[in-house]
Amino acid sequence: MVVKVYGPAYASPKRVLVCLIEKEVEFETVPVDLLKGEHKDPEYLKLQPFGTVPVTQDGDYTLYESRAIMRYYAEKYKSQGTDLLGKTVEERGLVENWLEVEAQSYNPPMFTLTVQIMLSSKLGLPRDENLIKESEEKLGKVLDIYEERLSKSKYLAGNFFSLADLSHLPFTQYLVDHMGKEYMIKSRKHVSAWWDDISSRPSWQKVLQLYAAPFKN
Amino acid sequence: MVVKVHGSVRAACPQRVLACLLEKDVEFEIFHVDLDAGEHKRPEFLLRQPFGQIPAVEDGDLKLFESRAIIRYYAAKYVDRGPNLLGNSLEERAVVDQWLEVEAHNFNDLVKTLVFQIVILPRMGEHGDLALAQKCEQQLEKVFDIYEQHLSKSSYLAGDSFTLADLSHLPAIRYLVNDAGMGHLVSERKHVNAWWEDISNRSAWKKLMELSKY
Repeated sequence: MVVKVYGPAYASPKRVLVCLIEKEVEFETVPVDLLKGEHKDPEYLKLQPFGTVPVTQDGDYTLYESRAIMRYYAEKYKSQGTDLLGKTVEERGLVENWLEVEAQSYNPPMFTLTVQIMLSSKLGLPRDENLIKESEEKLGKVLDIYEERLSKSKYLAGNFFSLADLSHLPFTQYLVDHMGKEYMIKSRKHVSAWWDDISSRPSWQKVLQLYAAPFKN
Repeated sequence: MVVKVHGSVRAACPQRVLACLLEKDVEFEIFHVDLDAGEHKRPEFLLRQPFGQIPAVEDGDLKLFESRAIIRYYAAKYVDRGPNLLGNSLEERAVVDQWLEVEAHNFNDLVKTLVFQIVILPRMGEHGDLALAQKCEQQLEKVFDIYEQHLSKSSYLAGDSFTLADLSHLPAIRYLVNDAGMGHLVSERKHVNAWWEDISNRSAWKKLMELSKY
């Protein structure tokens, strides 16, 4: 049975897609149009009561929250494809540490920038320039911490690529491609090298090829 | 080896870690971090946790931060000791992770903002933004409605037994019920209320409450 992934056009589902490709797991996608409000349809809310993407369906088994889905498939298919969880319990702990950093510190300002810069015109709302400035400052401080970390470690959790790095791909791609803020990455030597490395992985290039960003400027 | 936990015993995020260690019967030592004095923003602490947040743990050579990462680590490391906090299969584990993510993204920020406005700011002698607090409360009502629906079909968030998913909610709900006067969010919902009564009466949580000397 092939895994179904809902909402492939959007950033969070792309975390799941790139993970599945790294683990050599076949999948199908089901489009969900957020601008049309399809994520708030009663049928969708039965799958994901909080009304966000992605959701995966694997036979009878339904799961939501992209980082939970990634962890599941990375563990389930541990013996095939790329190792994304480290080799020991301790390495896994470090992967969890930096996955949480992505979720708690990196993603919030990124998400605000995405909504403000890429979405506000589509939603008929004015851009909040103060909020954009504030979010950029917050993100800058986080990237400074990443710069320090990546000067000592090739990838976030250690010298091995993991879910922690992978989780950053979708929104950071928006930052460099659609928000005119590539300098935030390029101006930081180790962050830049890390970004070049992870974004050039064939799995990510395949995702970009197959599923274009829905909102461009 | 005794786990060193850097943080304040009354702060929500360290409590998540301490509750987990108590459930798994793992010895720990608390190294208090004085938030009022800004200790968490000083260079020595930033070496431990570069984002200037608590908790941070040190376990021999291993240094970890982010409470939800730490609890996942210890629940996995000591999977055979005490209650199984990760479910009985990979599929159950993923549902635990799902609800941990729900708590982190759909629940925690609302509680944090609300508590900051109506508890923390007044304690500091400042005015909280009541409109913002009310907005958070309204959004929390909707989130709790989803929990009510879910817990009407499932004793605990991830299935039939207590897991990290339930544990992760303990500190924030304690704030809502005991400090923020928001107990109605829980008590007005039959299944949420039963769930809260159950999880907050666990001996590990009660032990932590004793340690916190509220």
